[in-house]
Amino acid sequence: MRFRALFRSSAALPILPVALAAAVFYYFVNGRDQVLYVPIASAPMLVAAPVATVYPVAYALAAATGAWQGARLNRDGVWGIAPLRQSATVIATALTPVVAMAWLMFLVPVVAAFVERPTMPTWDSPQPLFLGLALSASWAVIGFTVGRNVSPIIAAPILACAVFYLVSVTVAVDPMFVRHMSGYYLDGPGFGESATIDSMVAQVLPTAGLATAVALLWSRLPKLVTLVTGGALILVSTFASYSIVKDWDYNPSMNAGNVPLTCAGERPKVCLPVQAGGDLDEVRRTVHSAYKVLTAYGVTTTVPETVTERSIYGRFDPPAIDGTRYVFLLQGHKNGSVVGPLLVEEVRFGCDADDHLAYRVVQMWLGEKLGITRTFESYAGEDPYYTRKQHADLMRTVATVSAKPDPAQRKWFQRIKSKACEDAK
Amino acid sequence: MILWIRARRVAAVLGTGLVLIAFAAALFTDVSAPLVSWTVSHQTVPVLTFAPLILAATLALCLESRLPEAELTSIRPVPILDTLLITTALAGTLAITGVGYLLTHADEALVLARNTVFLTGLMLAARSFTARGGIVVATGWVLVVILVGHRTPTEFFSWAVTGLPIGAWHATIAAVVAITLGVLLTYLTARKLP
Repeated sequence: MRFRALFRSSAALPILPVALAAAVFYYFVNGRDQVLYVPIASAPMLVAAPVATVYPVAYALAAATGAWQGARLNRDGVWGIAPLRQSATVIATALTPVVAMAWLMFLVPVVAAFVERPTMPTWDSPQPLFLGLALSASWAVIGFTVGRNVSPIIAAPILACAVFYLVSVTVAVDPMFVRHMSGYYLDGPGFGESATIDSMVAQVLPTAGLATAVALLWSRLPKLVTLVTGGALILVSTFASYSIVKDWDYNPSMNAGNVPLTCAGERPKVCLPVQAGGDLDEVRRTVHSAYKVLTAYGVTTTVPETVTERSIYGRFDPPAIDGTRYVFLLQGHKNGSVVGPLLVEEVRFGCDADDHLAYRVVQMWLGEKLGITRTFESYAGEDPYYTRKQHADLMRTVATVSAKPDPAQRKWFQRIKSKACEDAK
Repeated sequence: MILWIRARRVAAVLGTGLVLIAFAAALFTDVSAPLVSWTVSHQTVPVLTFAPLILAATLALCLESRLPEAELTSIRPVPILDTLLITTALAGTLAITGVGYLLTHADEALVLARNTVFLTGLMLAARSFTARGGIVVATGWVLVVILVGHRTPTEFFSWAVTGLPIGAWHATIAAVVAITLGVLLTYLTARKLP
């Protein structure tokens, strides 16, 4: 069938503008925040993040429209006319516009993300997109088969609501393996991470297996063979997927830490991802001057050998290596100064102290010396129990301490540290 | 009349629909699910949000089951009978939800009644323009309200009338307007549809 006729005669046509509008709207109210948030864009994240909550919607749309298309072929008597073409070809042709529409829901946000943060795609980046595309097609096939047997007035709303509901809730229910099998890839890769092939296979298998089993119903094989093969397919694919993910927590498995770094300076050597090489000099200077102050006041006794960007390890803890400090340098640099995150890593009382005010006053005291002054609001955003009075008191303490000579300040820090540790016992 | 009832498959389709609504109302009154929303996060949606579609879909299927030749002869007052069918379906739902409200005093029963009236009206109105597509419009409405209707995790925008509590008067007015429009348009187009 000619391309234009194919789309004009399809059940997808009236839904197409709605789907397109939904994709654009979605990108601006939801997907875009993720894309703009990170300091450096990485290709795997730019693919996964902007489509994170599209999956259930696109699947529901594909299934319901597929059902409508199946019913339309019945109504138009396609199965009654002389079989010039394979029925598989007829179905594939009929489903092309349906699947294309679901694919738009994924492609529009991803393309928009790459336009906004121009980044070179890598081999390990497009898998979450392929997952969405493959399972949209699977759901269209499943919907089509339902639509051939049930009136679309019943089938379309049930499929739309049920697929949307069932896929949506998988990321919120307790047996953790369900969310890794439903095709809803919510907690996708951040900076420094990429989806493992295992996790993608596990997401694809159950739905794809069901779709293949359902597709067998069209074949002219004997009923018994169809049922047995189909049932076996569903069981095997589901079990294979389950055996991959059965021990995972809410995180899917990820490749992390594979980001090339560029370093500069000595004691500490400061390392940033190559993409952020332009900021390296400024970051290095800030880090070095910060360590001068930190050692001068006895906050840090041994300067680490290396200070490395932490975000390349994604959600996972970086490997513990002596003499290496992992700091969110890029996020700090983007927000004005790397001093903030550096102080978070360096100001340690070395005990189980839980005195937030002591910790905070030390941070403020060092921050003033290193040229960052945080407002009350920025602290209150992190701590709902922080009051203006406490803030004023802390500011006054910092002013008093900073006016003293250096040895007295050093002593003050030792005192506040040991007092916090005493109190914790 | 009996032929018309048979042609519309009233007992099998609409009867099943009403039974299912009663089951849904009895089982899912307090159940909500964390469904995807694009405007907020950490929200939950009552499962009964979907229940009005049961009536809308079964009613749509009844109205769709026709014998065009017999109906076009004008011997039977089809527009009046169809209006009667819609009224019966809604009366059935209102009775079910009314009993539910009397037993549990849960506002959810009243919300279900209001939403069923609204979505059935929406389906009927859309149906007179797009025939079988009427139910798609109603389904689309439900999904759109879930996806983008939340203003906060617990509140809805005021246009999202099916998400609002029973105290929101404009939602009730919207339901009355929708069903009036729907019945009127069905009456006018009862013979024209394919």
